[in-house]
Amino acid sequence: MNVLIIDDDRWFFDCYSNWLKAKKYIVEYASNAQAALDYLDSKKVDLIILDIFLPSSNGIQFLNTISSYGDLGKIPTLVLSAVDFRENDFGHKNVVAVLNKTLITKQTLLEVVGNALS
Amino acid sequence: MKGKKVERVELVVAAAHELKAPLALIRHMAAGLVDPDLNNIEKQEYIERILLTSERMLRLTNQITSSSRLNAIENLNLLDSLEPVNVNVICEQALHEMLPLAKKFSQTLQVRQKRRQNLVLANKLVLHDIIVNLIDNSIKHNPTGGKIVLSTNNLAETVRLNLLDEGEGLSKAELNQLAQTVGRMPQPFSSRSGTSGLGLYIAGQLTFAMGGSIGLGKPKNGFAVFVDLLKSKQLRLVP
Repeated sequence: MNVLIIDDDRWFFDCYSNWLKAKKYIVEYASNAQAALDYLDSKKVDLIILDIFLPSSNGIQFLNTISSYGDLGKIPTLVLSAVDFRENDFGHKNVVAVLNKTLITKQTLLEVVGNALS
Repeated sequence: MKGKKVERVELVVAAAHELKAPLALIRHMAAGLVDPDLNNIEKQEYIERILLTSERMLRLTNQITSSSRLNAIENLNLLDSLEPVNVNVICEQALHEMLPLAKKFSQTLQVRQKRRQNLVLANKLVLHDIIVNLIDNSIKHNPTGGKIVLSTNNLAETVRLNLLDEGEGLSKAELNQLAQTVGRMPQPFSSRSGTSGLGLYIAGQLTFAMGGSIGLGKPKNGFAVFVDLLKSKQLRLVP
C-alpha cells in the first residue's frame, strides 16, 4: 500500500514514515501541495496524510483541488494538524479522519491508517 | 492599555502555537528511542534532532521572555545600553551558533561582509538574539539544500542588515499586509506558512527597542528581511 505524506516539516515526515514502514507501507514524501499534485499525477496512491499549514497552497486548498478531479478526490485522506480541527470542519468526503499532531502516537496512526485502507 | 493587553494575549496565543509543533516533534522522537523497530543509527539521529529542536525551543522561550519584559514596562527601551558594535562580528557569532541546525537540513549559511563596515549602535546580546532569531526563521522555511545569506550595507543614517533565504516567498498582497505590522504584533497563521510570525514579531520588538526598524523584501526567488540599525557616529578606532 502506498501512502503519500504531505508535510513541510521533513522531521515530522521521518517520524510518521518510520512508524508506517514498520508495517510495510510504502511511504512517499511531498513538502508542499504542488509537489504532491505532481506526484499524484504520476503514481498511484492509496492514502494521503495531509498537514494543513503548508507553504503556498494550504491543505484545505489542496483538498479542494483534488476533490475537483474524480479520481484523486476518491483517495482517502487523513488530516494531521497541530490545530484542533474536527472532521466536520472539512466538507470533503475523502477526509476519513482528523488527527491532532501533538497527541498522535504510533499506535493511533497505524490503527487509523489500517482502518482507512481496510 | 487595552491595546497592550490584546497584544499580550496575541503573543501568548502565538507562542503556544509556535511551541506546539516542536514539542510534538520531541515527543515523537523521544518515543522513537524506545521503539524496537528503529535501529541504532536512526535512534542516534533522533537524539541529535531532539537536541537541536529543544535548543530551538529554548532560544524561542528566552526571546519571548525578553520581548515580554519590554512589553510589560511602558516606554522601556534599550537606548541606554547601546554601544558601538561591529555587526559583522555578531553575524559571524550567530552564524557559528546556527550552523549545526542548518547542516542538519543541508543548508548553507553565508555572511557577505564589507571589509570596512560602519559600526552600529546596539546592545550586543540583543543584536545577537535578533540575528539568531532571523536565521532560525529562515532555516525553518528554506528548502533542504537551500542557501541563507546575511549581508550588510551602509545607508545614510543606518546600517542595513539583510537576510535572504530561498524559502517560499509571499504574494505581493500578503507581503504588503505583513509589512504593515511586521514586528508590531504576532501574525496568527498569516505570515509564512505554518508559523505564527512570532519570530519576526520578537525580532521587531527588540529592534525597535534599540531605535532601529525592521522590514521585508521580495527578491526574485525567496524571502528577505532587513533590519536597519543606528549607525555609530564615533570615530572608527579599528581600521
